[in-house]
Amino acid sequence: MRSGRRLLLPAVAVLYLPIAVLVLFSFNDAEVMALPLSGFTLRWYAALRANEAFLAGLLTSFRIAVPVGLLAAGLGLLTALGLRGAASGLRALVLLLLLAIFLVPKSVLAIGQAMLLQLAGLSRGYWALVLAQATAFLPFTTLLVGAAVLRLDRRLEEAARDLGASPLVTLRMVTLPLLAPAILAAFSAGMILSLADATLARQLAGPVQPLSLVVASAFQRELRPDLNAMQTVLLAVTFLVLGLGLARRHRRRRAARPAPVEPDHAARRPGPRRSAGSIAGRC
Amino acid sequence: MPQGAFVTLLGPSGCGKTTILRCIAGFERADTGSIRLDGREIGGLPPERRPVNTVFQSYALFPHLTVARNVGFALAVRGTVGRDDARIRRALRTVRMEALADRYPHELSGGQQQRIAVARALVAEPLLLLLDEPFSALDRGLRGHLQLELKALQRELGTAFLHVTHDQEEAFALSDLLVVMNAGRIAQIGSPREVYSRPADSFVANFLGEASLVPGRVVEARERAVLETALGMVEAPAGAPLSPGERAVLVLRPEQLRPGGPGPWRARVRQSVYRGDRFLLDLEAAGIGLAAYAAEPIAPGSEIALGFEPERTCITRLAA
Amino acid sequence: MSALLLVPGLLLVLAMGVAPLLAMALIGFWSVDEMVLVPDLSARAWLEAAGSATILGLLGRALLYGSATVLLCALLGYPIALAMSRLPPLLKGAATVVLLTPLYVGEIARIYAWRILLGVNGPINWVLVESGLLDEPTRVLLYTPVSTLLALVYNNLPFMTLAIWIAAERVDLRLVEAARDLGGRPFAAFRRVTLPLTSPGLLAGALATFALAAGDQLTPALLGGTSGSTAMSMIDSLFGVAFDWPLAAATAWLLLILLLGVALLVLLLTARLPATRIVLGGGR
Repeated sequence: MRSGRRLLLPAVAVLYLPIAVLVLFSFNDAEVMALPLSGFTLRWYAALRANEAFLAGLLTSFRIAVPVGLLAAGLGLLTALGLRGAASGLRALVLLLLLAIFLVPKSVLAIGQAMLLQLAGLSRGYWALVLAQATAFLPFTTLLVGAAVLRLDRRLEEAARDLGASPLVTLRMVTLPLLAPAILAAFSAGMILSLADATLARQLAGPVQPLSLVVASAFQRELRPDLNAMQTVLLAVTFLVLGLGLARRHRRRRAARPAPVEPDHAARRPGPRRSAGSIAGRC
Repeated sequence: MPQGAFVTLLGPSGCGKTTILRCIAGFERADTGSIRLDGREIGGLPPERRPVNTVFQSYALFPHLTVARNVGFALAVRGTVGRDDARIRRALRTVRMEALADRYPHELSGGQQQRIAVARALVAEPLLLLLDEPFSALDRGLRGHLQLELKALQRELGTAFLHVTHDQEEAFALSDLLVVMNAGRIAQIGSPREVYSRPADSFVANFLGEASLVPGRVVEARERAVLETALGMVEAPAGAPLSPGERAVLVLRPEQLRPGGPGPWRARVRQSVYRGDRFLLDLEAAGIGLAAYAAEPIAPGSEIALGFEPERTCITRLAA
Repeated sequence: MSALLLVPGLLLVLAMGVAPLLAMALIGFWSVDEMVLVPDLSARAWLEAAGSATILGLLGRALLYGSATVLLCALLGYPIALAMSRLPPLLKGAATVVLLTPLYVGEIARIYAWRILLGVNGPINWVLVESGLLDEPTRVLLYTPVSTLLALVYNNLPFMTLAIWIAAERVDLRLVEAARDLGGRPFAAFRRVTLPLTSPGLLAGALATFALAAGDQLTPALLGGTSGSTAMSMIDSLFGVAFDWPLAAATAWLLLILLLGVALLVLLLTARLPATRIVLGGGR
């Protein structure tokens, strides 16, 4: 059905339209963001190098995004593994809680968190934001790692135990290496979602100013090309994180993909491959 | 299990043979009974502490490790360093896979993967090797060759092998001792020859090779039994303890029947089925279906004499 | 034993997810006295929220925006999802990454970009004028419900499309071909085969999209102009500027109850659908 496919290119074009506009005008040699274009320039980017607020903001965004990524991915891994062996009642509870976190609007959650902090006598700021973001992104990371956990072949872990590995050693030598691509994806996702967030930051960042807030307060007043440049930089960084994560996973996945099989010297053709997960122990 | 023997658990799907294997390996808990290895009770031990290793049906090779690392896994877990390489190489040499030591499992064919799985399970020198239908994923042509290799390997190592299959030919080819199972119970234990020629009941007789079962009532029973059947009185060795008046069956294998005689029975040919090397005659005598081999086909509808060799047949009890 | 693994995640969720919502419910019972919170047990805030025409109107608007976004996302998302399901496996992964683009772009960057695009001097207006379709730039694009809706659809289209796509992946293409073969036109085949079989995915996507759209605060506020006041922005100003925390909490909880109602509705619908039984029953 190739007719359906032709639809995709215009769809992609529309999806990227805002990005295109953002990036385009960051190179435009004019103060006003209007067509027709006035010529190519890098001066907005050059100006950034001296912009203290920008540099501080970018650094802060990273100082927040990396721990959030680690926390969200780490807890997502633990939760996904924990769900695997949990009793159905506990599993339902955890899944319900994760669903609830996903469905509650981030803005409501943020206000609630701010209220809670106030009640507890704690202040907004770095840790409040990191924990809040990790919580909000936990459903995503759990899903990403959980999907890989489901695809894990239980027999591989049984084989490890059969060969003398305790449950902990099995985890270290077999389970985690096999989950590594998904864990990396979860870390990537956590970082990217953190860089993208403004809602939680607005309520909970307090004195801390990630780049999204720096831009937000600036463009309340006017649209300026140097703000474009700032956001293009952030976008580039985001795509870099995304690209690195994908590239690593692609390399691993290519290693795991079945290559053309060479025949045994004793056989005319190789035996059929069985999907290990489908062999239920019938006896 | 006798020491150093190749024992097979044979039975249809769902009879419980894989469950037994998993109990021995430590992945399932038995409700009652005990598992003793070399005099030691191992039933309470977790899988990693049992001196038992398994070759899984799907081989379960670790996809993220090379062949060498797969084979050396049991050693890596134990933390032995230095002497590892030699032992890994030796294991690979035993299954003739040294050249592929640096490949990954997905790059290997089915037969190669199976050999690696065997090497991996043997490298830690277990007291008992468990094999769960190790040939089921392979082509028939490949199976025969690998079965011979496996048998030779077992003889060479002297390690006890416990093997599970539903393929009767495979069981015959490999085993010193056969345990025939049916619906969770052991039907018979014996050497392949014993089990084939003196089946303990009609299930065993049917499961192992072709058999025509002639029902009847026992007249006399000692080492030999006399059975009253629709085909007349028959005397033959008894496969199981029988008592007079009991219902039992006469087990007739196609190779034991002589179509064309000389013999006491008359049978009608229903059809002749080509088998490649010979024909299988589908016969009917006194309302009972019988099967016999012949070198040439006989036209359907013909009446022939039918003889048999009493010493090679067997009278045994009806399975529950 | 593996239940222990769940503890850290559970702790975080309880501390930063459940506790805040409970705290909010508690504060709903408090009173405010001259910019100071007074722990109390008064139903004032709840009654005021439930009785306020303004607040109820804004909740209604949240319902409206949410539903409109769901509808538009469904209309746009279906063709995209179906087209994606027909891609070769290699491109599917790339397609997923491309689809999720709005998510990486960042909340502020999205809003900012739409401001540029939809403005009087922006590219869209420029194209419309230059091509002769309009005599002069239109103001209808920005600071109106149009811009809000446009941005909300942009933000949420990935979720809806993803949900439908996952469901569509499980539909055997041969079923659709069989429907066409038996004399159906493409749309009829869609309506009778694809739609019913992917409806669980559609409903899941609808729920997610509704929740995200109804709860979006920044997008309407920064792009909607005067029409951009939403229940969420009211909650926000009650919490911040007006310092009426109890009322903010009560209003927020009303919004949550609205969302819960929609979620239950969706769950009921999904459970009733024959497709769900088929899909969850494991058959095709």
